[in-house]
Amino acid sequence: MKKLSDIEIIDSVLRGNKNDYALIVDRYKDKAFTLLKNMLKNKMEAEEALMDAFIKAFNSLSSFRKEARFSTWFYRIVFNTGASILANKKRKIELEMSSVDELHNLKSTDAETYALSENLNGYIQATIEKLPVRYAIAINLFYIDNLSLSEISEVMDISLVNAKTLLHRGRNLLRDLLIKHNYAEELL
Amino acid sequence: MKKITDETLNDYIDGRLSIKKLNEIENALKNDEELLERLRALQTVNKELRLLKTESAPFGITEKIMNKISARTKSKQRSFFVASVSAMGLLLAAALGILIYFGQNKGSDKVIFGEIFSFIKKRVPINFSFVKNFTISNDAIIAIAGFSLLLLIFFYFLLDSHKMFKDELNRFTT
Repeated sequence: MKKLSDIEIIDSVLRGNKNDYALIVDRYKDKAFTLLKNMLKNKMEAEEALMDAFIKAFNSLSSFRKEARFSTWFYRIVFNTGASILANKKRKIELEMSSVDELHNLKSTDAETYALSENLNGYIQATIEKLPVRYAIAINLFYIDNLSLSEISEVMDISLVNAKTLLHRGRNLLRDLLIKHNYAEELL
Repeated sequence: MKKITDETLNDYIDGRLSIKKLNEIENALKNDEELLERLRALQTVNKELRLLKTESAPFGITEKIMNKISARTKSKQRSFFVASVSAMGLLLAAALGILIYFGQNKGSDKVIFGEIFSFIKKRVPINFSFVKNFTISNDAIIAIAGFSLLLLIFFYFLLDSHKMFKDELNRFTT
């Protein structure tokens, strides 16, 4: 059976078949939930934000211009929903630099994270959850949601250079931790 | 020789380097163990990140979202329904008021529509001559208008209770 494209589904929803929106929800719910969980570091808040983001997207579906990919437009809504929750809780994301506290926390809990992880991928996954929020978001959007750097910059409302910097810094942090644990040599 | 930065290594694994830069890195890697270790670790990170799994959204989230959306749409439709019924009720009440006013002022038990329309005509330039001689008993008008109002209220509550029953039924079945 032919898989409907995002645009085809949206056109159908806009024609009045509101139930077709469930196809969009099913398609994006896991990825959006992972992004929100990495952002908010809390499962319950991520669930609330996920519902909120899907409802916001539904309500503004008629304003989607179809010039960009639907996923970019949608992740921007998801990101803004998560960001406003963080702002309300006075946990504002630092736009330019990662917080020193977050980095300190990552390094201080690293030994425990490493000891509790079953394999390398589990360790990386657990470490991402502890990365400074903006690094985690950039990594999430690049590797899980398959967004390009220019799309990431659009979603996060930052410059292309900043998007690249966030991704590189996140990767470098993970690499430094791997070197510390001699993981690279073990695997290669 | 220039030091190879982390930035360049990241561009290397993303395939964003020019041929000249690529050659530069490959030459450097032959003699620099520390650089090789940094690159290998970065490649491992890149490989593992590509294998990252998404976390499953909570069970039943699609239904929850769709229910919220449908509740919102229903509430909009309900507001429209209430507004329409209210407008109709107001119109009926206004019509009833006008008829009673004219009936009482003329001291007759009949309302002569021509008088009402000539009253309106003074303000609005519309020709109502076709209803000039149409008369109806004052009591009959009050009875008809009152009955219409009662009918409107009855249908409103009937539809409303039907909607509530349907919503309850949906809640049990989903």
